[in-house]
Amino acid sequence: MANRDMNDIVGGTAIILLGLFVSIYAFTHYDLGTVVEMETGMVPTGLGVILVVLGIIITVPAFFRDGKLPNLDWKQFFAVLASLSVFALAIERLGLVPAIFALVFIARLGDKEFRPVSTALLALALCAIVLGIFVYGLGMPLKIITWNL
Amino acid sequence: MSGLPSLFDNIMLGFEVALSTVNLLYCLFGVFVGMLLGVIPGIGVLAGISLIYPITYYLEPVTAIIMLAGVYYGTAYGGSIASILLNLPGTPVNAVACLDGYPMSKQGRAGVALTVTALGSFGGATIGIILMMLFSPFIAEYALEFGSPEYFALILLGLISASTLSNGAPVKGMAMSIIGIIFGGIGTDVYTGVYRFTFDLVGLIDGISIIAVAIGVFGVSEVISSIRNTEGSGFNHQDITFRSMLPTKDDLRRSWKPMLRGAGVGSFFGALPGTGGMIAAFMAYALEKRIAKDPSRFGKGAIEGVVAPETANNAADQTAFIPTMTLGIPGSVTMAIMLGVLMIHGITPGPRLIFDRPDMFWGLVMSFWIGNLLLLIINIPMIGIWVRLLSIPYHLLYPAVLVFVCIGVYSVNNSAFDIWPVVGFAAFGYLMGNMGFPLAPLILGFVLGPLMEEHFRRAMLLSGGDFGTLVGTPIALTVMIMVAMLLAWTVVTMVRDRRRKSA
Repeated sequence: MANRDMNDIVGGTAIILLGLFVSIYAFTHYDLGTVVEMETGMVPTGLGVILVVLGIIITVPAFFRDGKLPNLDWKQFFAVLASLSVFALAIERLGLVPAIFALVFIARLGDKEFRPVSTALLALALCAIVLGIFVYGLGMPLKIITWNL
Repeated sequence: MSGLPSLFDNIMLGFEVALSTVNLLYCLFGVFVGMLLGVIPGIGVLAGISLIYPITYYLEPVTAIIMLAGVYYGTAYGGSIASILLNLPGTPVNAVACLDGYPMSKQGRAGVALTVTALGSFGGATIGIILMMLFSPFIAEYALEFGSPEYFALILLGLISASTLSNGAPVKGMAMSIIGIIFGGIGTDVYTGVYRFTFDLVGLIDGISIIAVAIGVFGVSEVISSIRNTEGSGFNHQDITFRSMLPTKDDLRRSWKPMLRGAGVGSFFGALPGTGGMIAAFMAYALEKRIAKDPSRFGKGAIEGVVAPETANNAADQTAFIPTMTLGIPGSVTMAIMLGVLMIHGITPGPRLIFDRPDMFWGLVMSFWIGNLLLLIINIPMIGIWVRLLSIPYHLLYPAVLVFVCIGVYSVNNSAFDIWPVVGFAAFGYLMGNMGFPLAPLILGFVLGPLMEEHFRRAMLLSGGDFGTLVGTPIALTVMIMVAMLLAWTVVTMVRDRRRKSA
C-alpha cells in the first residue's frame, strides 16, 4: 500500500455506493414533486447526490497519498454482533433465559480464553439480575422460558 | 421581559419542585446510577440513559427528566474516574482527561486529580447553570418569533459545526451527517404519509429508534474495541486515603484559572447546537496548552490539563440544555434523547415550554444544582468504592453490558426487531469510526435531519418555492452567513493543511 490511502479509498467508495443507492432508489420509487410541493423522493434524492459528490472528494485524493487500513478486532467484532443477533432471534422464540445464556456464551467467544464455568455462572447471575430488576421489579412483560419456534 | 423579581420567583418555584421528596429521590437515584455507569468503560452517557429509559415510563414527566438529567451529568463525573485511574475513558467525553490525568495517577497523585476534577466539574456545572438561568427566558421570548427559515438555518449551522469541528476530516464529517439524515428519514413521510425506505418491513414504519442508533454506534462499538484493550483489569490498587486526595496550595493556585477558562469554553460549545462536551473538552485542553508558560508539561501530569477539560465538559453538559429547552433543537446527541423522552410524555420543548410549564423548566434547572451538589458530596468520600468497582475484570462486565443493552432496547417497544438496528449501527459505527469517519455527526444528522427537512419543506411551501426565504429575515440571514463563514474557514484550513503536508 505504498502510495494509496486504502483506508479512504474503501471508506470513500462505500459512501459513493451508498449515495448512489439512496438517490437512485428514491428517484425511481417515490414521487419527486416540485420544489414548492415536495414529495417523498425529493430530499433523499438530493442527499444521495451530495453523498456521491462527497464520496468522490474523499476517494480521489486518496489515490495519491499514503494510508493504511486500520487493524480491526474481527474476532471481537463478530462475537459481539453475533451475540446480539442471537438474542434478538431467541428472546421471543425461546424466552429470556435461553436468550441471555446464548448472548453471554457467544460474546465470551470473543475473549482471550474461553472459560465455560465462569461464563455459565455469569449468565446465571445476569439472568437473576434481569429477572429481579426488570421482570419482577419493573413488571416488564418478558417471557422467561418458552417454546415458540 | 423577565426582570430580577420574577427570576427570584422562578427560582423559588424551581426549588419547590426540585425538593419534593419524589423528585429528590429520583435525582439521587439518577445521579448515583449515572456515576456508576460512567465509571465503567464502554458504557457512556448514551448507554446509561438508554438503560434507565424504560423506568421513565412509570414516572411523571418532570421526575423522569430530572432523573435522566442526573444520569446524564452523573456519567460525566464517573467517566473521569476511569480516565484518570485506568487511562480508559469511561465515556468518550472524558478521553481528554486521560492525557494528563493518567500520568498524574502514575505519579501517585490520583487522589488529587480526582478531587480537583470533582471540584472543577462542580464549578463548571455551576457556571453553566447560571448561564442557563439567565439566558433561557430571554432566548425563549426571542424564539417565539422564529419561523421555519430561522429554524432551518440554526439546525444547518448545528450540523455543519458538528461536521467540521469534530475530529476527522470535515468532508468525512459532512458525509456522516448526511448519512445520518438519510437514516433519520426512514419511516413515514410526515407530509405525504408515504413509507420511505421501509422495504416492506413493518418494524420500520415508525422509523428507527434513536436509542438503537445511539447505543449501536457509540455503546456497542465501544465495547467491541474495549475487549482486547482491557485484558484483565491491569489496575494496581492505590490506597486512596483522604489525605492523599487533598490538593496542595500549588495545585489550587494552578487550577482556578483553568477552571474559569474551561467553564467559559464549555458553556459556549455546549450552547451551540451540534457541538457538546467532547469538543468543549478538546478545545479547553488545547487552549490551556497554548497559553501555558511551559507547554511541555502537558501529557506528563499537568494539573491544568485535567481541570480545564473536565470543567469544560460539565459546563457544556449544562448549557446544552439551553437550545434544547428554549428552541426545541437538541444541542447534542444526548439532548436529542432527552427531547425524545419529553415528547413521549407529551411535552414539546420549545419557546412555549418556559411560559406554559414553568414548573417543569425551573424545577429541572434547580434540580441541576441539587444533582451536582449531590455528586460532589457522594464523590469525594466514596472514591475508594468506585476504585474498587474498576477492578471487576472487563471479561465479566462486557457481557453484562450487552445484556442490559438488549433488554433496554427491547423494552422500548417490546419488540425484538428493534435490536437489529443496534447490530447494524454497531457494525457501521465500528467500521467507519476506525476508518477515521467521525460518529457524532451521524447521530446528530439522524436526529436533526427530519427536523431540518420539515422546516425546509415548510419554508418552501409558504414561500411558493422561493429559496430567498431562507435568508429572508435578519436572524436567518445572520445564521446563514455564519454557516457560509464556517464552510469557508473549513475549506481554507483544508487547503492549508494539504499544502503543508506536501511541502
